[in-house]
Amino acid sequence: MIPKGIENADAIIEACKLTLAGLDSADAEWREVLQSVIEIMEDMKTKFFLKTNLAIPVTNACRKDAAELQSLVEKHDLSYFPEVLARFRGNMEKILKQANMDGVIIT
Amino acid sequence: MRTVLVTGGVGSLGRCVAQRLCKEGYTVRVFDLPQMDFTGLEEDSGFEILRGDITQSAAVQQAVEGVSAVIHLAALLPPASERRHELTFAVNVEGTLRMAKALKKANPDAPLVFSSSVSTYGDTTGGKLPITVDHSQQALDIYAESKIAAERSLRESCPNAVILRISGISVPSVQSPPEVWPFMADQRIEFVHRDDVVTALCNAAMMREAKGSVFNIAGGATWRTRGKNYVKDYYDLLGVPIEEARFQERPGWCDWYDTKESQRILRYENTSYQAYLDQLRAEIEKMMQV
Repeated sequence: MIPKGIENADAIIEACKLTLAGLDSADAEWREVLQSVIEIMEDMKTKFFLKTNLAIPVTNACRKDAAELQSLVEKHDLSYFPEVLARFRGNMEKILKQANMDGVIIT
Repeated sequence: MRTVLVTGGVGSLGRCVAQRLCKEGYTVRVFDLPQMDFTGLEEDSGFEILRGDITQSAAVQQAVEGVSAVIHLAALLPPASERRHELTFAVNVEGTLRMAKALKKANPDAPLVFSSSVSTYGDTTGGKLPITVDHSQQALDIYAESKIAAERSLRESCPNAVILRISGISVPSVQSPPEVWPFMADQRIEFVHRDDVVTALCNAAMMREAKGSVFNIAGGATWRTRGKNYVKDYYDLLGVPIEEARFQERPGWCDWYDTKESQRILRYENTSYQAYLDQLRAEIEKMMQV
C-alpha cells in the first residue's frame, strides 16, 4: 500500500504536469512555479515526512489546489488561475515548513 | 544572586538548562561560540551572554569569573566529532580540562558538572545488568573516546567534578529518524526524557552530596524497552509502518542502566515513558491541524 502522503505527492506532480501542458508558453511565471513544485515534490517523495500521517493534511490541500489548476486550464478559464496558484504556493510553503523535521536525539 | 555558567548554552539542551536555572532565580551566564544564534537568551531576560571558545584560555577565564557552579555541555557531538578527531579532542578533552583548571583558580569550591555519555561503556550486550558506573569503558567512536579521556582528566584534577553519563535523550517533538537507528532491533535501550536530563544537570550543580561522583542518567524502569519497540511506538504515532525502520546489525552502545544512586541524589526521573508518548501524541495532533 502506498502511504497517503506519497500518493498525494504523485497526484500533485501529475496535475502540475498536465496543467503545464495546457498552459501557453507565454505564461512564463506560472510555468516556473509549477515546474518548481514538480521538482520539490519529486525530491520530497524520498523524505520520511511524506510517509507520515502528518503529511496528509497539507498534501491533501495541495492536491486539491493542483487539481483545481488543472481543471481551470482544461476549461480554458484562467480568470481564477492566479488566485488558486497563490493559494497553492502558500500550501506548498506549509509542506516545506512541516517537512523540516530536524530535531535531534542527543547522545 | 548566584551565577551559574552554562557552556554550550545555546545548544538544544543548553538552552533548556539555562532557561530552567533562570526560572529558578539564578543568574545564568550563557557561554557559546560567537557564531551561534543567541536569540531568545537576550541579557534583559535574566541571562548574561558571553561569546567565546573553550579552546581559548582568556575566554575560559572570563567565563568562570564570579560563578558558583559550571554546567559544562560544550562539546563536539556525532557526526561532526567523527569527522574531526583533532578538534574533538581539543574541545571535548582539552577544553574541559581548561575549564576545570580555570574554575579551580576562580572558585575552588564550585562544582563542575560534566556531561558525559553512556556511550563510553561501548558494547555492553554480553554483560551483567543493569550497567553500573564501575563498568569498564570501551569507546566505539571518537566521541566516546574523547569523553572517556575527559572523564579521566577530571577525576585526576578536579575533585568537585560531577560526571553525568547521560543516555540517549528523547525530545517530545517530531523528528526525522536516522537512516539507520543506532541500535539493533532486539537490543535493550533505556533513553531519558530531555526535561529529566535538565533536572539532573541542574540538581547536580546544586547538591553538595553530588560532588566528586559519577552517575548514570537514564529514564528508569518505565523507559526500559527494546530498540524495535521504541521505534514502533514512535512510528505508530506518525502512522508509518515499522518495516520502514532500519536497525544496526551490530550492537550499539545502548543498554539498561543502574540509576538508583543518581535518582536518590538528583531526583530527576519524573517523566515516565508513557508520559513522553502522550506529549509526543499531543505535539503530533498540534502539527496535524494545518
